[in-house]
Amino acid sequence: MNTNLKNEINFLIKPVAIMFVVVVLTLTVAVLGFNKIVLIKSENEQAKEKEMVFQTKALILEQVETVLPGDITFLDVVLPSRGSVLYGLSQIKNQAIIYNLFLSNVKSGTLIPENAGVSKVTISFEAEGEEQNVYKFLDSFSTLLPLMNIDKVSLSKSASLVRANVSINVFSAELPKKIPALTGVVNELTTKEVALLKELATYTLPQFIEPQVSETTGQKEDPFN
Amino acid sequence: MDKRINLIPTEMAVPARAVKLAKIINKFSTIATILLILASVILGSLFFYYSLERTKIKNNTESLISKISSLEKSEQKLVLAKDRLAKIKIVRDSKSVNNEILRYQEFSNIIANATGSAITEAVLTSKGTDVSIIFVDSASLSEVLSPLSKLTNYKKIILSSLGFNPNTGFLANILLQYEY
Repeated sequence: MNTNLKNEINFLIKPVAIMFVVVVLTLTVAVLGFNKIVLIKSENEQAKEKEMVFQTKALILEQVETVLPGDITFLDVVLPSRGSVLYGLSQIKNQAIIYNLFLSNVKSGTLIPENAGVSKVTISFEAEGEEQNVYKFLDSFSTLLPLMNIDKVSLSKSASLVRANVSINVFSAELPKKIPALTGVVNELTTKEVALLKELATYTLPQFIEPQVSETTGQKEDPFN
Repeated sequence: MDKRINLIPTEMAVPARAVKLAKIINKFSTIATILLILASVILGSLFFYYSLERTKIKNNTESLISKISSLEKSEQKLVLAKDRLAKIKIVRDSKSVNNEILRYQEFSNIIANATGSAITEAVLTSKGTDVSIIFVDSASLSEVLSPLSKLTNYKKIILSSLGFNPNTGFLANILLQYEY
């Protein structure tokens, strides 16, 4: 009986061993291979998503020159990073000259931080002149650069003239310090933003008078002689 | 006719059921081997396909990165524009009386066109406009109040005070409230 069993075991040991090796190999290849394929597939999907982000970014950047042609440094005058008070004062004086108003008590306050990096400075002044001109003068601030908000106006009449006591906020904001990382997402300009940009381009920029070189032809005296 | 002669001693002969079992095991091993080959071929092909796809994506990404790098100036321009426009929106959304001047002018013209009435003072703020008007008599007061009631530019027109002085006439204080 024992000899028979021994014979049976000896006879079956080889096919069983082969079957075991083959089954183990099949399972190992299937499990490891499947995991590897799943991993590569998910890596590829991630890489594809990244590629799509880059593709969109490249497309947006390629269109920038079409959407934003030319120089857009005027945006730094719309909302200056510095010197907003000077721009504001220049505009107030220029508009007063245009509408034939007499300016007095011009004062400027200190920089007050507002929301999201935007700051404001209040300029107060008195303007006197014909009533309709005062209205035109005040209305002109809605299309002047840099952006200015009339905070308060007190109007009083004396004879044929109107005196306006005005408080205007002139705004400024720091420039962005860095551009997004290469892998960072950029958003294209929305239709509203493009429309706003076009509208702002029609506003009146501040005018500064450049000092002219004297045209006197007489020869200057040599100070070293 | 062939005859099969078994020369193995009977005590050493493998039982028939063991032979049958060995045959089943061998068949199973054959199937497993075929499965192993099939799995290897399929997984190998998939690995090759995904590796090729990966290389293609990698090359595309690299060329896109160099393209984006070359468009750095455009990116700066876009970032500046986006930043400024976002802040400009904040400024434009802040309350002001910029748009109230023309509306007030219309109101002022009604008073100016009426006889015996004049605006003495007006204060325009983002909350509303406070106007002081003098009327020489009740006729001029009613002459002004009628067109004022038809003004649709303001949410509310409130006659906040009305006084009478025999020397100057009626002094009215009117509060004009905006739509927002």
